[in-house]
Amino acid sequence: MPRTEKAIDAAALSGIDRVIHEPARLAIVSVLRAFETADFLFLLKQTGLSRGNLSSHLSKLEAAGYVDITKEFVEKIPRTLIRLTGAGREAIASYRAEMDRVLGRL
Amino acid sequence: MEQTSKVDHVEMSAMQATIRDGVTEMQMGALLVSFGVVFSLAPPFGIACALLPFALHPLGKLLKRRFVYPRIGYAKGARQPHAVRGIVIAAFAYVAVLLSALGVFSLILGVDRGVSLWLSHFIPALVGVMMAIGPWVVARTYRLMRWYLFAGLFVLGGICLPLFNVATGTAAVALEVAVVGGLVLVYGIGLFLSFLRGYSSEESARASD
Repeated sequence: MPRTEKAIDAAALSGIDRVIHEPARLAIVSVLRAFETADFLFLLKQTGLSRGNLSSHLSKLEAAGYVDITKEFVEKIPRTLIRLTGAGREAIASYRAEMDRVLGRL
Repeated sequence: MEQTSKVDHVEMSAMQATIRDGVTEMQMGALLVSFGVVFSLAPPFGIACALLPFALHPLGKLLKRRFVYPRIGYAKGARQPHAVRGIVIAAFAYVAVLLSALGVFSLILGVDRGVSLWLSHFIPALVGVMMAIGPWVVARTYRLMRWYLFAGLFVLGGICLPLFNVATGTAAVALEVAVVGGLVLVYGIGLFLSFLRGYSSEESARASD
């Protein structure tokens, strides 16, 4: 492969959002994309992650502004609700477009 | 491409998880059985069954809150990208089939006789197709084979009951709705019991947030 073509591919890959590209976070965002809101247990069951792992990844997504985390009580039982923000929805849409573009070149 | 199809797969699997518990089937089945029984015993009161969803909805929510959410978690507002498009396509297809059949019968038998014969003998089939639209939209949205089967049962019931002289007209409609509703209800109860068995109380207690 010519040197210039390799450089183009590397440049394209550098545009990939690393916050979403991580498999566990991609799974979380993919699940959240299907709903208005979901609770911690639902994400736990759907992604198959451990509680600690899920918490850690949610914190990273929250720090990036991709998810909004709120706590509420339902019949005196605490529930953690997670919602994909507008920025999160935009990020996953552009991530998908970017991945399609990059993989389409291969 | 593979990455984006995996994203779609995860998304669809999460959506399917929200109706894996059988509650929707139980609600739909109970509604149809009630409608079929009331309509066959006392047709004028059949319309009262329109109020049943208002009673079944809180019951379904109670079952979800009590048995489903503590086991698999809670998710609200599933996106339904195909639902609206599906309903529109189904409605157009339905109207097209109706008009074509009406036209053919009127051409063959003359307008008056054609229309009356068509209505008296094909009401169950018309209702069957109409009843199949809902399950078909659910099947298409969630990509679930069992809902395609429910839709197929409605169509098949509507065609077979008058065809094999089991029942015609409104009696066939009541029978069709009650029988298919009963099958959906039994399937829903089975699904619900298997869902409860699949998630032990110990697991749900450990996993509770």
